[in-house]
Amino acid sequence: MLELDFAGWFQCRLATDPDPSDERRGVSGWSFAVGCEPDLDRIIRFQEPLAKRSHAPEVGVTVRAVRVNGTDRLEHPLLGAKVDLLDDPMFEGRNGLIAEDGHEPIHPFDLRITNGSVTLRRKDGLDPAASPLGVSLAQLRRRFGGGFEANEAARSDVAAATEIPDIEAWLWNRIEILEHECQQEDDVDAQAALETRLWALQNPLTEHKIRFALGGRVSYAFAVGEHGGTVEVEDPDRDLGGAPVRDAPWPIKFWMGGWMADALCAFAKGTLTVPFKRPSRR
Amino acid sequence: MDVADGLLVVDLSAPEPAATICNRSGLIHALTEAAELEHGLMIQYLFAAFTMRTGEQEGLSVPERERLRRWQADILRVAREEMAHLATVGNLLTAIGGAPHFRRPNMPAKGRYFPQGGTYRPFSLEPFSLATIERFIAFEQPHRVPGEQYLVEPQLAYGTVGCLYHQIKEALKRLDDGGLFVTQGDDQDDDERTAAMKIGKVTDLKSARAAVTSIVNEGEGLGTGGVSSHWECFKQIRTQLIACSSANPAFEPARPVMANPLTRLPAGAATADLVDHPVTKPIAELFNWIYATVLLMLMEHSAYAGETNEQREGLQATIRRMMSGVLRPLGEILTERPAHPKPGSVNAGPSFELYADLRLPSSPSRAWMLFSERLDEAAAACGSLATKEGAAPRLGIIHEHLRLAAGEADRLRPGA
Repeated sequence: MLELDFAGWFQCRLATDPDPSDERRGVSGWSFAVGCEPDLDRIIRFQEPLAKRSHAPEVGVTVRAVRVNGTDRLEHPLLGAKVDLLDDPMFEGRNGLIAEDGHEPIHPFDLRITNGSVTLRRKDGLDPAASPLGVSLAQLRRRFGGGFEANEAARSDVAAATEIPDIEAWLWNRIEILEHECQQEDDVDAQAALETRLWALQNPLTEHKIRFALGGRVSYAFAVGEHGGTVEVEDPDRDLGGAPVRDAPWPIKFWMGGWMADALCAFAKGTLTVPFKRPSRR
Repeated sequence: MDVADGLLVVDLSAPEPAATICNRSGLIHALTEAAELEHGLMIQYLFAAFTMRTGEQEGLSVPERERLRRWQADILRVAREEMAHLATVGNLLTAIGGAPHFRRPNMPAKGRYFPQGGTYRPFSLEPFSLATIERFIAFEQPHRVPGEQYLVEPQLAYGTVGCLYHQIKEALKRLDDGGLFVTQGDDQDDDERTAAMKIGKVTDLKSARAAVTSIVNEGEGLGTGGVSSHWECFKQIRTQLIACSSANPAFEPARPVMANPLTRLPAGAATADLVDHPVTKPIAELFNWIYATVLLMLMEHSAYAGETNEQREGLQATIRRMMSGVLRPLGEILTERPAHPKPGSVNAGPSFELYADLRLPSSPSRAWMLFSERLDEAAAACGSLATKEGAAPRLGIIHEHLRLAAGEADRLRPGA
């Protein structure tokens, strides 16, 4: 059995409640496309962010630890491998019509882990008896998030992962930095963008939501491929020392949180478990 | 009212002879009027917000776009608060033996509201502009009022929203003889969401007066929780709008939307400038259909007709989802679409027309059957519209949302 612990910041440029899910710039919620940035597109990007903002964290989810049959492997081809969600996945809550806040499933779910030569990829299929909307809600529910957690344990985990132990201090520091940047900025469009970022951080209607979201997380746990889907494995030099099992699902547990609305980024951390077949000895 | 130096001025010094509310029926009458005011204000604010330009492709500079977005956010916030006020007034009505009220006349409504010395202030769906903001400021202006007594429901007189609430507040105190409040509050919501929206639960004089005070503070007062009152908010927008227009005389904050769009001739009218574009008109009718469905759902939700908690939560959630995920995008689409087939004509907008009286069936199962059918029919209509040439891509998403909502209503309905 192969266990891959992954973590890192990801970007998701989405509008937030009560804006409609397809709102292009953000108006009534607490996240916005500002200035000359492209419209919000809701896509979850584990790599290669779009229109990165000043003072945003570095986006890139990677494998941080590997265990084989429970034993840590300090040298493994997949250590440091890039983790990516392919096919433009989104949080499909649709203003609660599919799922309420904190329960939105990621759809589609097509996970790829690669170091350039070794690649593991598993796409989660849904029940073939799909609804007319093309997605079986009954099966999608198993990919629902577990609700927004902001208890002490969650906040502690998030703080450790994001390296933001004091949200209040972070907020004031961010405001100070942006105010300084705004004063130095000559370009009127860039200045207008900074003013909107500052407005969001200081407006009583948005700042408490921004603050709250930065300290919590949503947890997910399901079996990738439980109802089919596709599997791809590339290991030309047999670096993995065996073959992933293709006809059994791959369990995954992870959380997403520490939502940094000012950067349209959040943190992801979790573990993918890949059942493995050792080559038989002759 | 006068217009002086471009500003709308309400004469607060003139006496406002107002009827004193002297019995339960009079209080119900006044609160029913308040409900219509909140509802009518809400849709005027929504209409103005929907007409605001949002993109660089609409001729705005980036700074103008950012500024407009904040004004739009403020106006939508005020509209949501009016929605909460409507719900609180519903609780006040329930508490004294009346019933929540969701009906209202179609727009424009002239000779109906803010009766004061033989004059009225029209309710009208107008695109965002300096004149529109000044109308909004006048609606929310602080007040004064005296009065005289009547047996029957009084002929109300008020120049501002706050004026009417002042009369209501005084009447609550005067009429509370130990028998005015007839509810323990189990026919009013008391959950996290209603608390977040500050919808006051009403069971006695203290909670009733607190509810009214909260409405007034949010409207004309100092605001609450660091958030400016509606009056202050609109005044700030006015100041900034004047500054933006001075800096750029070509600044056009709103799309070229017609005032008071209509899809049908109003009663008694021989002619009217109706929305008649072959794609826009059915979208406008779809908006009105869903709006009426939401109002029926609100009526059922307020009726406490025997649904389970899950059904009530589902109803509340569907109402909320229709507002964010369907009505708002449809309203915005309508302001981007031509009202008439002739090229270069003005744009349409949501008309909020009610084509029929709102009446609930007598049992929850029949009411839910109606909701489920209406949502299904709306989904089918939207799906058809989404395939038409020139239709907005957003209609496809709205179609999906309506399908989901119809399915949920069908799943939850009593007896299903």
